[in-house]
Amino acid sequence: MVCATPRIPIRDKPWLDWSNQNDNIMTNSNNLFIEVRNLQTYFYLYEGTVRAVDGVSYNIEKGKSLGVIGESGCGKSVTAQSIMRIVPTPPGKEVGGEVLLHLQGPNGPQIVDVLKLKADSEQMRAIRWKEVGMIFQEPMTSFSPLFTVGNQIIEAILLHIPGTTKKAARQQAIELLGKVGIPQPTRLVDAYPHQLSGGMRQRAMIAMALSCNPKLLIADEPTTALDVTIEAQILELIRSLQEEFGMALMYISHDLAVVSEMSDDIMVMYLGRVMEHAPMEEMFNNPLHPYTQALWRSIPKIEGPLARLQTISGGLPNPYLIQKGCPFFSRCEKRIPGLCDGARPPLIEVSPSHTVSCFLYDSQARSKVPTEQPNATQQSATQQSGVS
Amino acid sequence: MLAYIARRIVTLIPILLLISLVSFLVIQLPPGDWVTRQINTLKLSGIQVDEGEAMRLTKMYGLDKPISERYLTWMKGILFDGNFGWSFQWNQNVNTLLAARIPLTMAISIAALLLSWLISIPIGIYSATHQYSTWDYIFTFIGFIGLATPGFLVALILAWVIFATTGFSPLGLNSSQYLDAPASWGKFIDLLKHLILPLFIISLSSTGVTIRVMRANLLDELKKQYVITARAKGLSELGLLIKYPVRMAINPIISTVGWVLPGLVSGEVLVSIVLGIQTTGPLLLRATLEQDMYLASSIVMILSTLTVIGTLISDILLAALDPRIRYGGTAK
Repeated sequence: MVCATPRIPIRDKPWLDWSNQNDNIMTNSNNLFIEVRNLQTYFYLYEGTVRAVDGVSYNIEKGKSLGVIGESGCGKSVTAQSIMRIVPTPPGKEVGGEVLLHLQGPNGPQIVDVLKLKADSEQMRAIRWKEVGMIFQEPMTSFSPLFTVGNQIIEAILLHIPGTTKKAARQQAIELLGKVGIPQPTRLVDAYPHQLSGGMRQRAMIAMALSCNPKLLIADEPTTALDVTIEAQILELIRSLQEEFGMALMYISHDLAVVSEMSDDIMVMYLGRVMEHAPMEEMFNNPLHPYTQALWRSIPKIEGPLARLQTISGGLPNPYLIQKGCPFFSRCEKRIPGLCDGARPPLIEVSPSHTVSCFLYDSQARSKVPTEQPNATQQSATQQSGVS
Repeated sequence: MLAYIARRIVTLIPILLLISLVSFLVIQLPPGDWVTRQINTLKLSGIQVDEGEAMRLTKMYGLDKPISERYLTWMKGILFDGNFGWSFQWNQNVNTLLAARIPLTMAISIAALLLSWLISIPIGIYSATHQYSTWDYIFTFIGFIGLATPGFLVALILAWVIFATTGFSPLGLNSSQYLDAPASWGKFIDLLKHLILPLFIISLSSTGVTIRVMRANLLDELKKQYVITARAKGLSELGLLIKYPVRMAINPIISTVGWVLPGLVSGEVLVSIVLGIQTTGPLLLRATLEQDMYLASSIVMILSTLTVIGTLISDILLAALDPRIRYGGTAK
């Protein structure tokens, strides 16, 4: 097993003393901000239905961070968009599940299921940006080119913080721009997006996302379009602002090293399903799902001789096909024919905070296999190599 | 911004001079002139014209002088006296002829342009935001019909239908009882009634085009990240639609103002002839047929000048709308 060496050692690792206080991640709700339960978001296309998110559950506590990893098309962005209800509809639709936000209502705490709200309803619009902010993948296009950066930040402030004067909102926008490290914010507040560089625009985007003090910040691959130096700066910035503002953070990326830098918990997704969910340390030291293990093996190592990186054999299965069993079955090295392709693997809690969706850790299901599986020798061989 | 406009206006001067030269030459290109054409007509009707008479006429009209001299005389008249020359065919000053028609032509064209925008931009927005809905298909169908049907045909059909069903003749500008009547409220109302049909028909095809352009542009814009950002910010759907993607999607429509103006002026020739409206279109057609060179050249030149001015207006509007154009212009 390979332990990941983060590509960019940005800062000390506070998550090392991160101790898991919850006995059960589903029940400790005092400190929860968001609970996603069995979320299903489907896209109804001419070619068929794509189950972009197919039964995903996770929680994020206030002030904590969750990293979401997966290949392109695994549903990580759609998961986030479903929270904001900005999945393009049609063709997309949240068809099932719950997204519960623990909000501070006027009469005390309040739990709102955003999937029950209409996407363009007043309540939903009040949640967007005020409770959940978002940074997008492409800083080049996330601002409208026709208005100044300041105009677009001020717009959000005026919309969500009633009673703010234009002047105060402008002052606030300037402060935010200064906070995210934009030089001469009093001048650049009146800059048009095309006058800023990509890194600057992403900083401005972060400033805009923070403008209404959201409780949860979703960062959807915010550094994909940026070069490595700028990426390091942006990550550092998000991390420090998360602490300063006490926000929860959902960090979506396909970059394992980056996610390890950013997250307390890590969730690995594949084809719209959660494969494994564990605290960051645990996930890197003890990955259980064959998919996670394969991902970890594909990380380049800094130490040791140069060697060819291991890839995951095969390609993503056709997203239009409905998988009866485990979606990773066709590429899995440790698959159990007859079991893994027959039924959906259950989510197994191997330790209080570590869940994995794989039959390898379901001794009950595995014990039944030989009776269902005619080719017993091949299967036992698979099992032997599978369990380490 | 002011510097940008000033610079654009200065660059217009050589373009306009070139336009005047081309307009003049194009009309001179066909063999023969007004006199030879008149003599031919006389000969065809059996009247003998002797050479001396032909020479005398040519000299009288100044057609014996070289082209360059005639051009300079014409331009001198326009630039210093505002005199566009003499129409042989009407035996009138070109200015008088145009003064009677250009205001009406411009009024119809601009009204038709505004009408087509008024109809097509909201429909285009609706079609794009409700892509593949029933109404989108209905509007698309109507748009294509408007685009594909020749205006004069629609004019003929509608004129007949209106006359057959209501007994009201939409031809011409005024009903016969008002033709020689002094200006009055009744006459004005009568004029407006007569203008509805031409306006509708002239704006028909450009409406079809604009619906398609608006729909396609907006569909492109709606997929852009900044729209999703605006939605994620919690803006209302209508508010964000108008502030962000629509503002971007109308850019190409505004940039075509330049050639929509003369297009409307010349495109309505057939419609004007069919409906009997005295605009510059039929005038230009007759002038070219009769080789009434000063009249024809003047109209061509004025239309071309309108194009250039229209382009200038659309560029200024674009610069006002889109900061990228504004700043790109002053940076260099």
